[in-house]
Amino acid sequence: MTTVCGHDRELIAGLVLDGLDDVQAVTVRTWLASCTTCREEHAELVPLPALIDLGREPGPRAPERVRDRVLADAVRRRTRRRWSTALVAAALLAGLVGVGIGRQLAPEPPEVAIAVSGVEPFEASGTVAFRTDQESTLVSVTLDGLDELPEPGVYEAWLYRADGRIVSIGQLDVIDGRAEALLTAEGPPGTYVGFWVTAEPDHRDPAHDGPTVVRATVPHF
Amino acid sequence: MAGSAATDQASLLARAAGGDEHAVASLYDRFAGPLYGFGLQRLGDPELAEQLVQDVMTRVWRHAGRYDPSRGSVATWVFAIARTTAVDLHRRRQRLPRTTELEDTPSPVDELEDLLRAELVRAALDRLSPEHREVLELAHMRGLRQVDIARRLQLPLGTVKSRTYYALHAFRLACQELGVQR
Repeated sequence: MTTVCGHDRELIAGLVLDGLDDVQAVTVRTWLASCTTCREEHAELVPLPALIDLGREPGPRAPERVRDRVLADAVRRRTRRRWSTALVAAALLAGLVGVGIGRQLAPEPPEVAIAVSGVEPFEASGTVAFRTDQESTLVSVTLDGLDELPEPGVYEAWLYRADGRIVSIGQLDVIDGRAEALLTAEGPPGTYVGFWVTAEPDHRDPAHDGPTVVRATVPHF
Repeated sequence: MAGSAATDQASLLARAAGGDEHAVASLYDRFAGPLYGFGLQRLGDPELAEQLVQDVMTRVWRHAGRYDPSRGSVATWVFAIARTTAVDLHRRRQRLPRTTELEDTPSPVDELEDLLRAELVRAALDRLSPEHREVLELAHMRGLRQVDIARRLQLPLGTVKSRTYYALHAFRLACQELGVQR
C-alpha cells in the first residue's frame, strides 16, 4: 500500500514492531527522515507496543460472589422502590393517602441535609446529609473553605455515639479547598448524636488529636 | 474518542442512579478489576480487597446521582471513593490483634489509573479479530520478524505485512474508543 508520497506505509507498522530485516528498516528510516506523511503515521503508531505490554498479563479479578452481592443489592433496592411507588399510587387512587399504608411500605427513607459552618478559627462551610438503609448510616459531606494541611495532616470525619464513644468514619480528600465524601457508619442514625470534622496532624495515628473544624448534631430519623 | 468513552461512563452512571441494574453491572465490570488490584496492593489481603470492591461499587451506584461531571471523570470520582474506603478498611483492621502498616506508596489515584489503563488495554486487545491478535502477539510479544511470521503461518509475506499494519491500526482505534490515555 502506498501513500500519496509514494511510500509503502505498511512497512511503517513493521518498523514500529521491529519486524523488518535490516535493509527494510534502513529504507523506512530514510523515508521518515524526509517524508512528513510517513513521519506522522510513525508517530501515531510508536506508542502502541508499550501499550500492548501493559495489557499482556491478565488483570486481577475479584471473586464472582462480589459481583453477585453488588447486583443483588441494586435489584433489591429497585424492587423496593417500585413496590413503594406502585402501592403508594394505588393508595392515592383508593383515597387512602399516607399514614397507614405508607408506614407498612417502609418507603425509601428520606435524606436529611443540614448546613454546617466552621468552628473558629476555621472558616469552612457546607452541607452534611444523612440517610439510612436501616443497617447503616450514610453520610454525604460537602465542605468548602478547607485550608491545605501540612503533611502528614488530614481532615477526618467522626460520629459521636449516644453512648459517648467517638467513631471515625473516614478521611476527607481536599481539592481546591473542597472536600466531598460519601461515608458509612454501622448502625442506624439513632446510634449517633453528633458529627464532627477535625484537622488531624497525622493521618497514620488513629487517635483523635486535632482541633474541630465543623460540628453538627445528627438529626432524628 | 476519549470524550465518547467519558460520556459513555457518565451515561452509565446516570442510568445506575435511576435503578438500572444493567448499568450497575456495566460499571462493576469496568471498575472491579482495577479496584481489586488496588485493594490487594494497598491492603495486602484478598478478603479486604473483596470488601473494598463491594463497598466502593455499592457506594458508586447508590450515590451515582451525586456525580458532577464538571469536577472530573467518572474514574476520578470512583478512585476518590476507593481511596477513602481503603483508608477506612485499613483503620478498621488496625483495631484487630494482627496489624499491618499501610505503607506509604505513590499516590493511590495513580495506582488505580495504571490498573484501569491496563484493564482498558486488555479490553482493546480483546476487540481485535483473532487474526489481528495473532500477528501482534507473534510480532511484538514473541519478537518475530515478518518473514518468520509468514513462514510460521504459511502465509505470503505481503499478507503478513498488510495484516500487521491493519492490526496495529485496529488496536489504536480500539484504544481511542475505550479512552486509553497514551
